[in-house]
This record gives sequence, structure tokens and C-alpha cells, in this order.
Amino acid sequence: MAGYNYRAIDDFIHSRVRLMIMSFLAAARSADFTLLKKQLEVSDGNLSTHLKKLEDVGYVAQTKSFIDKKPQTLIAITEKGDQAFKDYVESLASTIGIKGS
Amino acid sequence: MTQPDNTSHKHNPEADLALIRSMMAAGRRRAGVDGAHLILWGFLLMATFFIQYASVVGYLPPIQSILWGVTIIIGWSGSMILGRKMERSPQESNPALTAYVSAWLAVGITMLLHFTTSLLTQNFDPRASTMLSTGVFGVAFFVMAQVLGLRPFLLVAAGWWLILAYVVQLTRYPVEMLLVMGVACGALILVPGLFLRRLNTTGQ
Repeated sequence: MAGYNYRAIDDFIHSRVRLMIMSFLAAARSADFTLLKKQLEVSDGNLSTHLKKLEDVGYVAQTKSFIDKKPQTLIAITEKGDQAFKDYVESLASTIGIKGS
Repeated sequence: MTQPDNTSHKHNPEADLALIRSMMAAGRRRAGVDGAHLILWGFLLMATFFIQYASVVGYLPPIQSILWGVTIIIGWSGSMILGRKMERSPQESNPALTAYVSAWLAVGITMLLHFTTSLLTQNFDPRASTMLSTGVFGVAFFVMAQVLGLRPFLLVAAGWWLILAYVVQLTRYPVEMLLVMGVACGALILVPGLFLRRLNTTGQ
């Protein structure tokens, strides 16, 4: 099997948890923190750490609000994140010879 | 500058793609967009246009007015049942889902108002009806393509607008347009619905 082209791989996405976050958000477009935590089966702290990294590079945006007087953090994928994710999947697919993933 | 951490997992492209597929499938299910509404309406409208054509050319008795009434009742009832299934906690908000639901609700209300007005005034203009429906279907698919990041749906929107452009330049409305609309509902509503269903089940 061919190895990764390391130069083409986005290190900010290339962590299991962040890859899961980006994949989920690429389809759902947005999700609240609790749902994301449940979906990924990770702890609050772990999820927060990974979201912070993605937010710092502008791949996701977090919005805090109140719904029925309860705090909610909504995480949405950004245009930049969407493009980075598509590029990541493209490079991954080309590694194993899949066209137009 | 922010540095990536060193928690990158062991490199395995196939496993990564499998993970991406399953997470994207979960994301689409989460968005509540499983194509069920499109399958329902696509099949219903396709069948209605074909039955209407058969009725207009004399293969079936004249049942057009009842036919559309039945279609609207079945379609809205089915939509409400499907809508209840995808109801979620008010704690969860999803702008993409809201945009998707709003776009199709706007289509439904627009068409319902148009048909009600046509029935009440006894003045049904099939050309105007086709222009209105193709225009709003195109807008709804354009919204879906944008909010769900599904680029193929831009082609579906373009397909509806092409039909709109064709109808705009018609000087008379031939009965064969019913067949065109039947095929269009199959290809540009039912098939996208099946495509979404496949995305949800296989995650591809």
C-alpha cells in the first residue's frame, strides 16, 4: 500500500478526534457541543481541546447562546474548514487511488 | 501561529476514509436530511403528472381536479408524518436543518396558495403553474446544495431552471409538458431523494 504524501496532509485535521469532528460537521454543517460529545464518545475536556485547535485555524466557529434559559454551544464548519476537509479527503483518496471522492 | 498537536493517529488511509464515511453518514442523519420527503413528493408528483396526462389524452376519465386534491392531501399528510419522525429536542438547534425545512416549507406553501387561488377563481393557468413550480423547486435545491454542502444539487437546481427557461419561451402549453414534468419530478426530485437516502445508509 502506498504511504501518505505527508506534505499534502493537513495536520490540523489529521487527528482521529478532529477528523471525526470535521467529517460529522461537513455533513451536518453544525451541531451543539453535547450532541457532538455524545456522537464522538469523548470527554468534555478532550472535545474542547480539539475544537479549540480547529477554531484557532478557522475551520470551525463556536457560537454560545441560550435556548430555554439553558446555555448551548453551537459548532459550525466554516468555508475554510469545508475546503480544508475536501482537500484532505481528496489527498487521502488519491493516496489509495480513488478518483473524485 | 497555532501548531498542530502530536496526537495524529496511526496512518491508514482506508481506515480513515471508512471513518470519514461513517461520520458523514451520522452527520447527515443528524441533519435529518434522509431524502424521505423528496422520495415521497418525487414519486407522488411523477405519478400525478403521468395520470393527468393519461386523463387529458383520454386513456382515463377526466379526474384532474380530484387528482391534484388527492395528491396534495397525501403529500402534506405524508410530510407531516415524516416531519414528526424527525422532530428533535428544542435544546438542539441546527441552522442547516432550519434552512432546509424552511426552503421546502416555502415551496409547499407557495404551491398550495397557487392551487387554492386557481381553484377558487376557476382560472388555472398550467404555464404559470409550471413556471412557478420549476422556479421554486430550483431555489429549494439551490438552498439544499448550499446549506448541506451537496454540490450535485446545484445541477438539480440548474435542471429545474432550464425547464423554467424552456416554459417561459413557449407560446402555447402542449399537453406533452405533463410528461416532461412527470419525468422531471422523477429525475430531479425522486432520484435526488434516493441519492440522499443512499448517502445516509452507505455514507459514500
